[in-house]
Amino acid sequence: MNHTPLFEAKNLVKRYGQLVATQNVSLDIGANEIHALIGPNGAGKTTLVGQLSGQIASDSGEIFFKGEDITSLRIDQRVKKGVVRSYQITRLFKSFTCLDNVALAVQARTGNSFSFWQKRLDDHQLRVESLAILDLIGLDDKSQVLACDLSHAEQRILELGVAYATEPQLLLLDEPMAGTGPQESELIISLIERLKLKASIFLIEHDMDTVFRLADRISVLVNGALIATGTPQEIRSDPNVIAAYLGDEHA
Amino acid sequence: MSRDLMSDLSNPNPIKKTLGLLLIMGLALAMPNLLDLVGWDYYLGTLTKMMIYGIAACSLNLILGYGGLVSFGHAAYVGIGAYAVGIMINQGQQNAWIDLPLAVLLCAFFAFLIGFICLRTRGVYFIMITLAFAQMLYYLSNSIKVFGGDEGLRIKSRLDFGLQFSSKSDVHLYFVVLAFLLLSLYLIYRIMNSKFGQVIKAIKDDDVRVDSIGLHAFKYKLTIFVIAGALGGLAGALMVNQQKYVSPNLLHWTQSGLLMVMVILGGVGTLSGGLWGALLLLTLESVISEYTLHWQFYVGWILLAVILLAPRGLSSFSLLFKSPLHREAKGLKP
Repeated sequence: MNHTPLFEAKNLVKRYGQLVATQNVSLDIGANEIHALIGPNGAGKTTLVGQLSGQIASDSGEIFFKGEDITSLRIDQRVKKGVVRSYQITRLFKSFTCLDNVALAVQARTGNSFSFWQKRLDDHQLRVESLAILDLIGLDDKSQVLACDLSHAEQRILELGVAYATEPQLLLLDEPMAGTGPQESELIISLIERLKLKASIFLIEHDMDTVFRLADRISVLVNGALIATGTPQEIRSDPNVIAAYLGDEHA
Repeated sequence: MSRDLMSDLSNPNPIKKTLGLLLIMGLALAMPNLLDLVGWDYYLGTLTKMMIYGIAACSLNLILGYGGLVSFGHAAYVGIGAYAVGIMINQGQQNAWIDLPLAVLLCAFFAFLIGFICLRTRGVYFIMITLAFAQMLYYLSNSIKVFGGDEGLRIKSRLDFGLQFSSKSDVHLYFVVLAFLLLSLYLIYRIMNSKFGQVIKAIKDDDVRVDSIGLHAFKYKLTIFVIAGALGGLAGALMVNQQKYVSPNLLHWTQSGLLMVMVILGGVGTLSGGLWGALLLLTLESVISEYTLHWQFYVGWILLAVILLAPRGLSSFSLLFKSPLHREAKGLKP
């Protein structure tokens, strides 16, 4: 790659006491790319997403977004720049309806959350935009259902919808299909393919078939360190990867 | 997507609700005359005190109920507001329109300082550190001899509200407190139905997610904490004005606990829950304490019953008569 990538992380390190969760991780994500991260359990994948999103402060390393140094920005500030994460364990506003879950993310983006007096329900633009997003993710018929009353798969989909409602340029998706069945996974995969048209995606995923199908490039994280990055073909035939990870899986 | 449809949905029976509100308002306005009629005019002062506690409890409900921030130090702001007004009156400044804003601002300032530190913690730590700050102020008020120390501060006269207000008249004071109560409730109503209020409700569900959709939750928590402290200060200012006396006991942790019990009794995260809780608890206190010194023993049983039967407080009693599956989704309608 000879041009500046959309997102670039250099030598990220995170330690928890004696445990090194990530060591010198460097990776980049290009525009309109799906870059997948695979690795065995406990490899540090979720820690890495935390570092990239700003949820977890890195002990050292640098992060650039569109050439700008965002290392010291908090998560909410990175979201404003366009870097948004979703969660492996669903984090929704459980007492809100689907529509209100999405509407809060839309409200966060349109930037008037310090309005104390005007009634929120009077904002038509907010309603229209939020409904359009529910439409996109296919939950339009559930708009008035409380998030806690949704099925697990629907919650996973709404989780993506809330992240998407912030209009990200880069989505960091932490196992979006966690805990869903094969049919439901298909739904989420097709949703990710639609989201790809609007944003770059960094995807953590366990299911190899999905990763090889969706990803433009794949990175492999083992014991906190990246052992390989490349196209699906390159990763499939990489001897290190086969030894460390794929071998285990297929054995 | 018409607006009329939306308002119909969000308020299934607007006529019934308006009638109910008018009835309560009429009753509140006629109360001094009604009490006079049956010879209970002594209780007007008690009722005024209940309404002041109602303001304090409703202000606590902003953070505890709506925001899920369990502050165990709300008495601090009530106490600061009370002392501020008491001291200003004794210094010769009786003008309510100077004293009240100053007291409220002072409480907002204290809430800002305390909140700035406390809101960096969560859960049990937040409960403990808010309690610690309130207790510090309690011991401080005990030790400052100029302000009466542990004997408290007696004030020379009540605030002067101008107009035709007579500071000696309990009836006038009742209407002043009623006006401030309605004002506070309207303020809370507007705030909690605004975009800001929506962020506060979201923080109760998951403040981490609030951060990760691009809103710095801390900033919103601090703002609602300051608003709650300021309103608590208003209640304190009105309290000293009515009792003509303030003592460190007003800042004691048991007062913070009392306000929490009012909120839980009345309804956590409801507009008027704090008011109903204050009315019920103080009524129980004055009725039961006529028969026994151990009124708290009986109040405990009632509290237990409310929590078991109507976990969302008095305001949710009506839900008991509806289907258990009935759950109203409040929010944006398509």
